[in-house]
Amino acid sequence: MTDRDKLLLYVDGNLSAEHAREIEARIAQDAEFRAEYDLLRHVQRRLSQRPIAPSPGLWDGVQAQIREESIWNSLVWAGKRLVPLAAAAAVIFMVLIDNGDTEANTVSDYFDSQTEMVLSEVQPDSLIIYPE
Amino acid sequence: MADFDERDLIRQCQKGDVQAFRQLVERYEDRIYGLACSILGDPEAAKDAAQEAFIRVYRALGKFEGRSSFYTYLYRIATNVCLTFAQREQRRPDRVSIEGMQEASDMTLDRFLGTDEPQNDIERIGLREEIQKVLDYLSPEHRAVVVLKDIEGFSQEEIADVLDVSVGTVKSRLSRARARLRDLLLPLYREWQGEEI
Repeated sequence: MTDRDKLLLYVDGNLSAEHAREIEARIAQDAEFRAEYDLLRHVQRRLSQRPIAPSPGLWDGVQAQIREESIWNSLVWAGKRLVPLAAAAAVIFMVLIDNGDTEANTVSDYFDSQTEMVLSEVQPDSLIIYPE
Repeated sequence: MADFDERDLIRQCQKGDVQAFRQLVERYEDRIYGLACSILGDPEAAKDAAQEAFIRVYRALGKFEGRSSFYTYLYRIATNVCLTFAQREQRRPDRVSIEGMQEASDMTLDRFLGTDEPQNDIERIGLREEIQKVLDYLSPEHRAVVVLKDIEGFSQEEIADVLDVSVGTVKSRLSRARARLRDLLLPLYREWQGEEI
């Protein structure tokens, strides 16, 4: 590692005490090297002085997004609860319809069979025709 | 007292108090917007990123247990959002390359290289713009480390926590970022010093 590399670590306090002393000695003796050190320090100092850019106001945008998500979450919440309910209602409805059909068919079949039985027992000549 | 107020505000937020969250946003928005401006270099993108950061904080606040400070927690989310935005910007096909910007730049950094404190709004804006020009020479990852260290004043351990990397990685990124800035600024600095003499 060169002294220039060590200098980069030195300005952030990331150099061992022994190496730091070597770098400090070179800064004191070498004008070119001192210029590099001064620049690195200058950059740190200038950045720390960065004037704050005031926020343009973030709350309105944040609030709008929170509201939108809140509405969406409510819909999802309701959906998660309504879908099983709707499914259950649909199943019950189908069962009822199905049962209704079965009953209707049973009754219908019963009358049909009874009618057929009666008609089969009635002889055509046994029909009594009453005069008007 | 400030910490107590903050903990109280966070508890209120966790109970769903939106107005308490508003107070948190207003307390930190200048710093988070400033962080976003420094990392992204574009006020509109910075506004979007800062808003996105606060929205993510709001969503995640229920899980915040206070093991790290809220300040660090907020910076972690905000820095990650900014780096994601920066990566998205880099992938944009219409983006002007940094190298192109460097060539086109007139490289006036008189305020940055000088030592005078800005005295009025015009000088403050001028210095801020020149600082941004300098930061723009760094990759987003290197920029984030320098911004957190030199502008926000975080320790290297705090930066590691914010970025979820090792302290060694922070030191390495800092060193590389400083090398890049040194290589860029040294000729200008020497020239400027010569003019001063």
